[in-house]
Amino acid sequence: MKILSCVLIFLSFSYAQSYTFLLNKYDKELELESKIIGKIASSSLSKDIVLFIPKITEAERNIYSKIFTIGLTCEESNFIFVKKNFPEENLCKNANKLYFTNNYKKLLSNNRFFGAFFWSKSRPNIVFIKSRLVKNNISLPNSYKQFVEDL
Amino acid sequence: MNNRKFLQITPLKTLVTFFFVAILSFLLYEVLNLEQRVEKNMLDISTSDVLSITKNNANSIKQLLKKSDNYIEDIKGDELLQKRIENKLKLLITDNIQYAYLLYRDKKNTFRFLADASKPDEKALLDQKFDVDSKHWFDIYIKKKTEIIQHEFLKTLSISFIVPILKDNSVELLLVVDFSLKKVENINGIITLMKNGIIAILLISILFLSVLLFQMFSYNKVKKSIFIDPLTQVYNRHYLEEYQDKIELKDYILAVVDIDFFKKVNDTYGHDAGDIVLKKTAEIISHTIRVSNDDIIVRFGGEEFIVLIRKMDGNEQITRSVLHRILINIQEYHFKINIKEWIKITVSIGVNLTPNKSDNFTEAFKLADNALYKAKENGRNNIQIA
Repeated sequence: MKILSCVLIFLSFSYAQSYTFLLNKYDKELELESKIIGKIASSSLSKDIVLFIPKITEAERNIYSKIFTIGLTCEESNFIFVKKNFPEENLCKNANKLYFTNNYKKLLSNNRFFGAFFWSKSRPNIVFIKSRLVKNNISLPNSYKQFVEDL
Repeated sequence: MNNRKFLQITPLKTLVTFFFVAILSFLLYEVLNLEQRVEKNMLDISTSDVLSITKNNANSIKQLLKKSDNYIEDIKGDELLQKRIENKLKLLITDNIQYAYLLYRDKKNTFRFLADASKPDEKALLDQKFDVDSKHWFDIYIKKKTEIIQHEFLKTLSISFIVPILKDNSVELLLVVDFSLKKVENINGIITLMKNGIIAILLISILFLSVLLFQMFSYNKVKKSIFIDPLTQVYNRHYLEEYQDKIELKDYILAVVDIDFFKKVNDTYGHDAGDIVLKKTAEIISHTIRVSNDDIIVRFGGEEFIVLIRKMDGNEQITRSVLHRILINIQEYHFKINIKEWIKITVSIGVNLTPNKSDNFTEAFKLADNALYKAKENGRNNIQIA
């Protein structure tokens, strides 16, 4: 009977995913994004990074704050990650900041951004623009070479 | 007949339980394996048509480019051609096919878009870089054959078909079709339903089997308590009544052991002392016979025990020596009947060396009992053979 109970408990644990849920839905995509942005930022900047994400959500703040110091304003930050739907004219105008986006078209249209991390066909994609890396004095490790474009 | 079958209930129970768990584990393993096999087969069946259509689509794109010397440059330089290709790609988009696009590989081995049938908000630009996630993409340029990639880690895609478009026997373009998870989810939904059904049936069967086993063990336990004498813990008369016809008499010699002057023990020292003597006598007999050799001891009634000793092939002397040891061991033992007192008792034994010559057990027993009577007549504490 004990063994049977153990088997039943084992079965119920095996199927736990089917009948349990997390109160705060865990976003794997966002965590992956934060890790990639973390690597890019630390490779691009030698000083302590203060990240600013315009219109940051609570979920983003929770995940990004594990890796970065989150800046409350653009002015007090040195790495700005612009996600979609934010008017670029509202961004602070300071040459000593690095701008990154999650939109390829935005990367092409605004030369303030030195690179982008975005999802293309559900796959993560990274693009850096060579001339903008030079302009910002960014020297990326060799492992990032495959993502650098001569645009 | 094996007289140990009741004594082995506990190991039997463990064995049956182990067997039961092993069968259950095996069945569960098979159900899970079945799930994978069914999923693969269902996926193959449901996507094989799409693969054929995608190959046809690749051929029709190749037809569009039949006059081209350089597929990549011609597509890049001809917007109308791009549109025509995209229109062909759009034919592939369904509820289950999320993306269809045409790629090429540049000199730096970077994949780039040439055409994309996606909606405007997801559509890749011409020449946009496309980061691939496995080496299969590069293998196509060597194998020159369609590649099917199953995605384990992508959030919304399940499978990609990559069909190469060749020119002069070298891969120039890749037509890619990405299946959304919807298809796999639908298939998995059906399989999960089937799997849960099978598991439910299994669990119900297991439940019934458990009840059956529990009943069987309970029945054996009750049966054991019926056939075991509670005082001496050897078989009782009911056991003989139940099984005497099943005992192969040719394999045994039959002895009747009776405690001498047992009434005197009871009368002099009380019934508690009598019980001690009975208990200890049964214990000595049990230790003297060879339970491992299927010898049987039965408390037949009062102070009388029946002992069935399995014959040793061709060596009757050893078998008879067991009886002699019973006589001596009891004779030499000091029975402690209370804190201060020890007594010594003896037994008389009547033996039937050939019980199989009798018609049945009762007749064989009678002969042994007659021999016992003779032993009593001869002054007790001796063995008489019928």
